[in-house]
Amino acid sequence: MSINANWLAAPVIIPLLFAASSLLVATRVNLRQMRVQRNLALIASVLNLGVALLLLHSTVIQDQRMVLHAGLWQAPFGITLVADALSAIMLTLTAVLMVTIVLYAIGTLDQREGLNFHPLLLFLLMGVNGAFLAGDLFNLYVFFEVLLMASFVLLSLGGRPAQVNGGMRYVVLNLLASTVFLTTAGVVYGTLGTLNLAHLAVRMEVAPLTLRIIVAGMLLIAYGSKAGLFPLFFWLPASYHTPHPAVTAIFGGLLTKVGIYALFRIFTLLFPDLLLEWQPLLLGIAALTMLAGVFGAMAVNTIRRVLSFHIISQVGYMVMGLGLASTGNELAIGFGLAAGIFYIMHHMIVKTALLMAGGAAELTMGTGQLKEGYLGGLVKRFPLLAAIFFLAAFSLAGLPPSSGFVSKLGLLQAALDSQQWMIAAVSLLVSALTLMSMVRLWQKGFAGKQHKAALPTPRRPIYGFTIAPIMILVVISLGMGIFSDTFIQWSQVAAGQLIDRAGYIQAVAPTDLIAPVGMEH
Amino acid sequence: MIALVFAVLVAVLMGSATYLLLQRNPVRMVIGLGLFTHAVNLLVFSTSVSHRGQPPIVVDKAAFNGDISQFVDPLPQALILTAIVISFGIVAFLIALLHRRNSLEAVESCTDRVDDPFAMESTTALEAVEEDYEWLEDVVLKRELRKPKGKRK
Repeated sequence: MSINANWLAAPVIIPLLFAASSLLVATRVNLRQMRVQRNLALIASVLNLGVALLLLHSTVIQDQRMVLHAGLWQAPFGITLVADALSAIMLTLTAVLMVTIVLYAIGTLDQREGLNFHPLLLFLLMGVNGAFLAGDLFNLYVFFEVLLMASFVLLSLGGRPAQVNGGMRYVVLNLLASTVFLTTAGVVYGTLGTLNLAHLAVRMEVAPLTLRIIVAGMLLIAYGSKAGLFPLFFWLPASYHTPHPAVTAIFGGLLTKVGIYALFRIFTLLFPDLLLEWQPLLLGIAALTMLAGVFGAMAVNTIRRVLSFHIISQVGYMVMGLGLASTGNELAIGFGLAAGIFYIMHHMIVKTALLMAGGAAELTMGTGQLKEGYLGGLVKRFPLLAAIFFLAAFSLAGLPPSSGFVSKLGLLQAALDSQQWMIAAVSLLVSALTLMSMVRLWQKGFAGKQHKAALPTPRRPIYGFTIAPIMILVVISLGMGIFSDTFIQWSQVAAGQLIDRAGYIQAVAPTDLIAPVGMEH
Repeated sequence: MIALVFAVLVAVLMGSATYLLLQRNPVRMVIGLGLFTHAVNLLVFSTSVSHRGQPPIVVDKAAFNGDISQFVDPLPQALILTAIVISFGIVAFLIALLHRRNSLEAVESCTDRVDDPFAMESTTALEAVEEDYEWLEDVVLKRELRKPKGKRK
């Protein structure tokens, strides 16, 4: 079965339609309207999951690419949407996370944050989906901005002092990164005369080396700061712990990974040679990101702050996958990339589950403070929540048989195969430190006795809707560990398609009618 | 020549934007961001090669031979239009956030009231704790720190 390429527009259009209509439906602000919005969001996210699975089937299982030329405009002139295996995998994971987050929000949102939470979530989904499908640099920028706009508002929903302060930093640093991105787009268009990625891949080959280095460096800065890479990650721990736990969970699962996706896409398609030349740089950034994240996690003392620092250290592992993509022989290239992609899959699921569980604990006990015994005794009070948190933390730390073990093993093997001893050692060290940090979370946060109470009585987590989505994610994570063959095969297909640049260019088939402007004088 | 003018303009705008961004005052930071986005818009505009001078409209279709070297490239203007809308929206949101921040400074003084050991037992304070755990957590901690060392657990 092969589906029509027009389906590619659906992951963008479905959330947009439902978000707009749920804004229209909710004319007044009350609980009943909130329920209408939530139901619309639930329908939209399930529909989106269906479409994503269709795309997954026809790109990953059948190993092909799908291209939509909007309005039948020839490639470099119109808007092109491209779905290959990596896009489809990312779309599917996003869709799964969206369904679970809507369920989780039923159990945890109160009226203060519930106002227009769901339409904003759908706008976020639209931006993320669009970024995964975009076939040209400018649309990538636009969809980045769509998802950032939605995330700005989601982050400050509720308007508390901490949120406003964190939100300021988040907005300013992300706007700066976007501006760098736009500058790069301007430079690229001014010199190479095109923005279409496939067309750029053709023209970038004959472009002077200086230009390639400038463009690649600026894109690395732009995407790197969105992904939270080493010197540019400060906005993340400053803001991620401030909003409602549902918002933190979806941010932690999705946003930095869009930056990572863009890095994977751009570097494999436009700069395969730089991938080799810049290997020390990429691996160095990866190592420093891992270390900075894990050491930061040791220095902070609330559940969600610890977990947001771990996002950074995990992003380092993904960049490690990208860095290992450039080793000599053809086989190892695919293996490093595939390990990186598998790591992204594992991370999106597990991180969201952990942030959801940690957020539920914070909401229930009224504080996320790990010191002074505010949180102890969760194991006895809410054993199911504690058990799920334990399993997710287990997976994040990379113990068998979870998905974390398989993905870290894959990366380690890729590093050893290409004889990158330093990065292998760092990844092992960070893995051990992550385990230590998870043990600390468990001991201070869940086990032990409660000495002090922030709330007079702990609020009961509303079990069905708070726990069920976390359970779904943990089960998926365990499944990815136990039936890892299938998922590794998927990521190998995705990596294979990333390496096959000629296939991508051929699928989009840009016509090369007009000479680049910059070349004429 | 025009290219040089554009380059100097972009450089001046970016330079002043960077200077403003490095200030502590958040209002200046917002103005700096606005300037920065304008600088980039100008940079994108400069790629449309306006020295060619002709609007990209074919008046006499029969005489047109496919030579487009006299036409200005219209695409960068479309790109800028999108970019202007986006940056305008974000700067507007940033200003709203700034306004919220300023109005919250009044609230900050309310936290002092909760911080008062005598006011803590009142019902309003407890409700506030329940509604606003993250923010009040700092307050609770601060109160703990103020106690003499022996009393801390």
